[in-house]
Amino acid sequence: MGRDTLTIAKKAPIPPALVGLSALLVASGAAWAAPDIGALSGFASFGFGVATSATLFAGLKYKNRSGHVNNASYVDMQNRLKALDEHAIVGIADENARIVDVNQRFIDTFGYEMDELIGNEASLIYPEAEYQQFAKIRSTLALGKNWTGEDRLRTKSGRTIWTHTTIFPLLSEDGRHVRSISVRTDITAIKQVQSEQDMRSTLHMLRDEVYVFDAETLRYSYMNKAAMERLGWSEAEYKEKTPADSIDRYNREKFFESAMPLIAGDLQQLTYVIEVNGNSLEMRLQYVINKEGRAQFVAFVNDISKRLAHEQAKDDFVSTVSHELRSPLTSIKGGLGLVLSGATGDLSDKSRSLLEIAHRNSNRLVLIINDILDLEKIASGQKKLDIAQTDLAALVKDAATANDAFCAQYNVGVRLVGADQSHIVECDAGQVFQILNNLLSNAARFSNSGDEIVVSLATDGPDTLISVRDYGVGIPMEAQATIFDRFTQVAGQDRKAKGGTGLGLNIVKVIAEHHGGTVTLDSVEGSGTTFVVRLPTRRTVDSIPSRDADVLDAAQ
Amino acid sequence: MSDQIKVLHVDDDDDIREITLLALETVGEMHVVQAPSGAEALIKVQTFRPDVLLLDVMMPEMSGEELLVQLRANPDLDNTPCIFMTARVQANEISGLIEQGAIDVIQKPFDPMTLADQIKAIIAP
Repeated sequence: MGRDTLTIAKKAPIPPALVGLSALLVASGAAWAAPDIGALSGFASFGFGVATSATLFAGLKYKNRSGHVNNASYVDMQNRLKALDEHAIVGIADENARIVDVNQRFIDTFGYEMDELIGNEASLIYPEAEYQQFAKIRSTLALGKNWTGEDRLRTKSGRTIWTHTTIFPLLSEDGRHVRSISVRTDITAIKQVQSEQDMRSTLHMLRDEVYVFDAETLRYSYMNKAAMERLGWSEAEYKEKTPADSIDRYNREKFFESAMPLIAGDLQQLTYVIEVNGNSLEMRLQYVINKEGRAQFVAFVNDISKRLAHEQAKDDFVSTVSHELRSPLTSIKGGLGLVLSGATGDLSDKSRSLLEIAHRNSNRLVLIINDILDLEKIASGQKKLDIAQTDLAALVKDAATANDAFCAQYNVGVRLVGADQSHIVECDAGQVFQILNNLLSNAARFSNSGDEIVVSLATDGPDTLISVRDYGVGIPMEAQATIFDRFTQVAGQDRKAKGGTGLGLNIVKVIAEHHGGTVTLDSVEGSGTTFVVRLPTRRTVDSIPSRDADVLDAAQ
Repeated sequence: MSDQIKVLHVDDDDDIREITLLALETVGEMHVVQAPSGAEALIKVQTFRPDVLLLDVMMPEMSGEELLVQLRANPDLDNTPCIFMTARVQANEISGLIEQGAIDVIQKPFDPMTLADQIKAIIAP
């Protein structure tokens, strides 16, 4: 063993800690050369584990530069190492990055037992996302260079910690990389503060207004810049205020009543339309417990006055178009109906046949206008969902009854399955009724005379399924992909004869999607089609549409 | 026929007036007096006492709603049932009209063969 042959690659003087380090390495069985004294001087300020070094140093005498044994310096060095060991996380790994030794702080920090670490690759403490960094460090060390930087690491329990890290390689006499020493300082707390500061300044500059207020006192504890600008309050001023000072017609009881699902944890977010100084604002409200354990409301607010004006303009347009189309249709349809009824005298067969065509098509035009208006309203969000606990079993029965006469025209019966027990779903009853209506009339039109339609209700996990099955002509495979598009009907299945508008299934799809659900179909040409509408039984999504302003309105 | 139902029908659209007249008189056997505007309707009611008011909504100069307010000012008509007949069929529009004091709303296009029955059903006590 070459204690006397220990070689330091470059220049002297050698700092005491380095001598200790070298001694350690020597004691563990080989002679190595440290590649760069400068870096090692840096390392000396971290020191390494007393638990490791003390035992390994036993029996060693520290020599000073002149070669004399100096017991006082040795004690100083040991104390310094002890102090440094308190401060830093130190590990030693072999050339394959397998852990050879660690100090107590390493064990305390990462939560592994010593025997869980020794012999394992040091990648153990890196999260998967940092493997690339780990590889980069290894290749730096393999080149004989040290690596210094910030490391994102993972403890045994999965907690993320950040360290400022210096790792340097130790080379054998023949220049092979045989060991690496890592010295780390835990900077997780600093990182957290930094990221909180970053987040806070991002939050502060956000265009949306952000308000945080106490769930008990309702006093504001935070407003970002946009929020402060809206209300014209300084930080000192807003700390004394509550939403009652800022929201028009605010009612505390109503507010708490409406926020109950948030407080109970049933919903993650509620959306309100509020008025502040006469402007319509949309407020998305969340309920959080802060670090100190206090319950707080966080409100994200943006101005929707323009959007509402736009919606109003569109609404007016839709209404006007509707009126302008319906008025002339009233005369066309009414005139044809009266003539066909014989109210104006007898008709020749030829005249009657032609007038019937005109009358039938005027009816179709009315249906198309109705469907387009419905779609327009639903798609633009004007037709807000009126969500309530709805028993689909009752709704299905109502829809079947409402379609009785229509189905009778096609000599088709309706059978209900699963409607003998209630299926409570949070949905807009009117819109789901429209889904049922469209699917039922569709099924009737494409059934063979004497067939039956089967409407079933079922529960599937968090969803409720409505399926409408017919035994009619079916939908060819090539048409299935586009069947839910607007004005799509199957080639060869005469639209006029079947009397649809080409919008019914699109309406079904739009409504289902507005509820966070889906509609799918299963069809075999010649043997029928099943449409399945899947609706979430409970609305836990944060896409719940705006509640009316009156939720916070004391005047109500 | 003295027990004929007497209808005041106001609509600015000539064609719709003609269709409605046919539907109510020929098919429904009602007694109908018509006016193309609110102003003319107010003159007609000086000599005609309707059982039911059948009013278009969107009319130039005086809307159906404005006309209803003026008709109601006449003590003879303050209780006469009013039905609006309109092509404005959005749910909020219909509920708005009911709030104005109508007992019901008939949507355009209506079915001329059943219009009279519809009105009878609405005003039936």
